[in-house]
Amino acid sequence: MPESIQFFTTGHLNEYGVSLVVDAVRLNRMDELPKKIVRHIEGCDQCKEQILQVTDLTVQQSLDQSTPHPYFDTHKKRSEFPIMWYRAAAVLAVALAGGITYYLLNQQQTSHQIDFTVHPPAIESTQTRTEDFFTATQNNLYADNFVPSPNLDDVIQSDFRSATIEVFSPNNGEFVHPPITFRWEHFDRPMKLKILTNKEITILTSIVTTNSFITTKKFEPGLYYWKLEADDELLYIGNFFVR
Amino acid sequence: MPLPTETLDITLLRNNKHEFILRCQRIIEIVVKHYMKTGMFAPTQFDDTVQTINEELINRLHRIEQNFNGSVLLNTYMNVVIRNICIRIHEKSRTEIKTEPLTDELIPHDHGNIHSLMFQDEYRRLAIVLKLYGAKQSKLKFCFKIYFRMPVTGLDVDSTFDTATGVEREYLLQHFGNTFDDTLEIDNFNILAPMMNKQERNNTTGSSLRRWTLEHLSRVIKLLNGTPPVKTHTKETVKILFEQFSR
Repeated sequence: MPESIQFFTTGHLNEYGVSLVVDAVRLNRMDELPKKIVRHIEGCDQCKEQILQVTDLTVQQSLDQSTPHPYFDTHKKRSEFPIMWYRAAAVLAVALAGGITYYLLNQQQTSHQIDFTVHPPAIESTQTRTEDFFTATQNNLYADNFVPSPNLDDVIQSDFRSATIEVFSPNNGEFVHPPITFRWEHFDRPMKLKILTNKEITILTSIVTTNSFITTKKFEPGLYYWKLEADDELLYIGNFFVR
Repeated sequence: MPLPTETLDITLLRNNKHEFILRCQRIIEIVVKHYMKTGMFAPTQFDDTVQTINEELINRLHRIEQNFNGSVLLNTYMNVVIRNICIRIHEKSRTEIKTEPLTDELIPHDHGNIHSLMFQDEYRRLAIVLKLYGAKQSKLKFCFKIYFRMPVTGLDVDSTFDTATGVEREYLLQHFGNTFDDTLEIDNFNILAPMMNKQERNNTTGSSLRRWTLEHLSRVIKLLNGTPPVKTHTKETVKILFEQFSR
């Protein structure tokens, strides 16, 4: 079952999504919910509230557990079986390929004279392996720069939602290229603009008195957060990506 | 004690809409009474509200029949649908919250147990809210314990910090394993922050972790109180519920 049918186009849970979570709460099967739903409700108070309200209603009603649940007992089991089959097939295929290779190598060794020539060490392949490792490590580091900060993401999703200031750019989650322009509505006090990495390390702080700020700073590719503060009060927090 | 409701099924919806609507009546009654208790509808509006819900439900039945994808329990789904209709009726009428005296039907007769029932109900609601935090649940509970100055157990440490070494585990228990009323709040979070950073591969300060905790505490309070607020939970009441929860 595609997960999208549990979400409205607005990104919030629709009636099916809410019902599924309520069923999970009542049946104590939260661990079996689709990951996408769990991730969404973790940060969405609006959906949490709907779920809580519907649970308040349904706990007053009897729950028929005599029939299997259409998602947890039927759909999930159906979708788990092919995975198990795929896994079994993959193990068999590897074993078969190993067996054939072993057989062919044995055939070659018995049908040819033994080669006593000393071969030079396989420097190239070692280098390739080192490079592969290095590239993989670099890729991991690169990917690490895009991992969202749970703390800052929570604040972005929280209800205060920059009640005091409206921001025009960059939009949350936007991919930007330096020079980056930050624009917001007029504010009558000087503010502090901060840019932070996804590890919550502040890499730029500037006092701003107008309604925009441009930085030509070179950013490593990754996810960044930016804040507007006045008198130590957080007015806005948003994020953007640099490719 | 859950009230018995009729089991709804899609075959009934397809073959006998009249019977399906009849079976929905108990759910409609429960939902409307629930919202009457919260002040969304006045008790005098009960019959009218039920009537309006039925009219709208009859208009929507064909669409529900065509669109229902069978991935959830139809009873739960109908609760969501009826609840949404209630919210829409309320928004349309734009009536103010009415707090009329509870009728005999709405109030538990055993007055001695009212507080106990209310407490149990709110305790259950807090447990659901915490569950909805998913993977963050253990972090939230641990941070709440530190904020409320409640001693943590080895089990709390193990369920929150699966990367903690034996020394780190002891370190946390040494600081927070017994009462820690004489320490500064910020110091407690400063002690906790490095462990949380290790667990989350993050780099945050104690002050930021404290802010995160307070932010989520106010969100939990808001959820428990509802929108518009129909309860009056505060940090203190949540602390009492949470203490019970942690026993």
